[in-house]
Amino acid sequence: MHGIAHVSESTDYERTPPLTVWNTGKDDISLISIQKSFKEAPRYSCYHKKGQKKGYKGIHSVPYLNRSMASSDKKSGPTPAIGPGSTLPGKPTTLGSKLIESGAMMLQSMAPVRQMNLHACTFALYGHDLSRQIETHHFIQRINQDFLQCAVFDSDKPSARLIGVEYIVSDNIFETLPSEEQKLWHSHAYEIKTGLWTLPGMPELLQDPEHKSLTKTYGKFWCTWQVDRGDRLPLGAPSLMMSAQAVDIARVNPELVKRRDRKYGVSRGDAKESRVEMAEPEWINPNADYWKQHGKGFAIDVVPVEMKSSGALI
Amino acid sequence: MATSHVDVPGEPTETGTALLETATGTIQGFQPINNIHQHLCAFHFYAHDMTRQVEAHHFCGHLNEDVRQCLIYDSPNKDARLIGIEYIVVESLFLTLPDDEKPLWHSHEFEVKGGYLFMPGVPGMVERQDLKQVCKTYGKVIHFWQDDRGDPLPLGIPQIMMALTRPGQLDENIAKDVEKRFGVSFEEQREQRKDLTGPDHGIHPLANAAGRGLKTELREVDIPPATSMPRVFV
Repeated sequence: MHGIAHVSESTDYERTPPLTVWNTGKDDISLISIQKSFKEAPRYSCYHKKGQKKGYKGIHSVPYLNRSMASSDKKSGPTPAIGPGSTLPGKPTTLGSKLIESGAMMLQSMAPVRQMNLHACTFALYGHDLSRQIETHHFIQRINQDFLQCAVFDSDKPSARLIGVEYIVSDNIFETLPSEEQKLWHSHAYEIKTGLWTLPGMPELLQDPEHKSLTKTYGKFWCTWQVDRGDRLPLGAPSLMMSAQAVDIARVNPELVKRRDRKYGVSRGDAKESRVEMAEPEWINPNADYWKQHGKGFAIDVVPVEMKSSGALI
Repeated sequence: MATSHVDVPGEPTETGTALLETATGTIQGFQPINNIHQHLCAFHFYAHDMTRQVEAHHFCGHLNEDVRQCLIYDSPNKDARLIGIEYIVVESLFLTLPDDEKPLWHSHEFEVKGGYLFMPGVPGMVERQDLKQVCKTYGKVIHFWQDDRGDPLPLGIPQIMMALTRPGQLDENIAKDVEKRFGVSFEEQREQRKDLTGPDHGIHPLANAAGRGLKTELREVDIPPATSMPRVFV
């Protein structure tokens, strides 16, 4: 069986360089031949449906990872994995899959995920470009009085996409972190006090005690799926996210807030007013919200390296 | 090992906080979490260091038939730490990824056929119905908490992870420990999964980091200045 050329979903993608194809009948061999020759650009042939060549004769080399895989950069070119409205590609879940899931649910304990008992809706900003802002839904589990772990989604519906993870620590814990680590974290006081952060479905009064303790916390939020830039699938390296602050470039676009408020029947303005008496932290560590003092954000790059192994096998 | 980990620093949860969160737990909606229906156990290693291997408990939900998303914990217990995320897509969607994205994804064929990926508590026959599909998929795993090196907190930058692709990669002690704790035998599973097949077009040569290692690095970037568009500030 010969490989077939990549099939695009529309002619818009004809301009992409021919995607590499591969020998279908001998999976292991295709992998081995790449691994043995990773020191030089490995080569393998490109097939067309008419079956012109057999075996491995070099035409294309494996493209090296380049900067376009950095979390900060724009997408790397037209591809079916990016589209308007970032609609999820793929077929609807089949009955068969649903049945398997029901079976699993009855037999398995989902203990870790059942521990999440707090839902917060807030906004986050991309750490390398604060003008890119998203509404986030945090599903939170408290580990102890000083530490919480959150699964972050882009909505609170069953169709919500898992877009990242945030960890929250108290100021006590934060002060114990090395300064290089602290630079990756952001403070929460502003977003809570100004009503950006809310607990949907909970009356404001009941939200109070939670907010009082969270106002003094710091968060570290990695985003793994940039849905706001049209990614239909999770592409690229994770992005470090930051929080809104009382500085021009880090205030959340009012339209985003209005839309959220309408959806949940809340008012950011009202929340802000009712929280005005809430104690603010006396001091926010200047290493947090690093961009504020330094005008610099952070991006993650993925770079190819030699794989460290025991030597037995790569 | 997931059996014991360094405690997360901090004071025990105060009663008031616990009570409030019990209330929120009953009043608020958790639909995205309720969509998570499946527990899978597998092994990951760091994409730049195969000697560091981690037992990974995936709690997965279908976004649709072709895309799954999973929360990864270090154990299946109540006190488990959330250490990472995995996305799983079918072959046809993997093919639509840009060529420089494909190396960040790994194939599942070997770990499924080898018996190393399993659904704790689910009888083999039912398990295999799903593994038949999983065998043909590709996954992208990112870990945020390196508790295998004893980190009490999620320190540092995210790590791209890879999955087993050949015999001899998995540390024997880790394998035996998991087999014992979950009452499974990888060898037995291997026998029973002989008829499972991998991706229809074979494992893509760019998957599994194209046979190389991958490392994440942190870089400082200039923050673009505020836009000139006047904005109304609340």
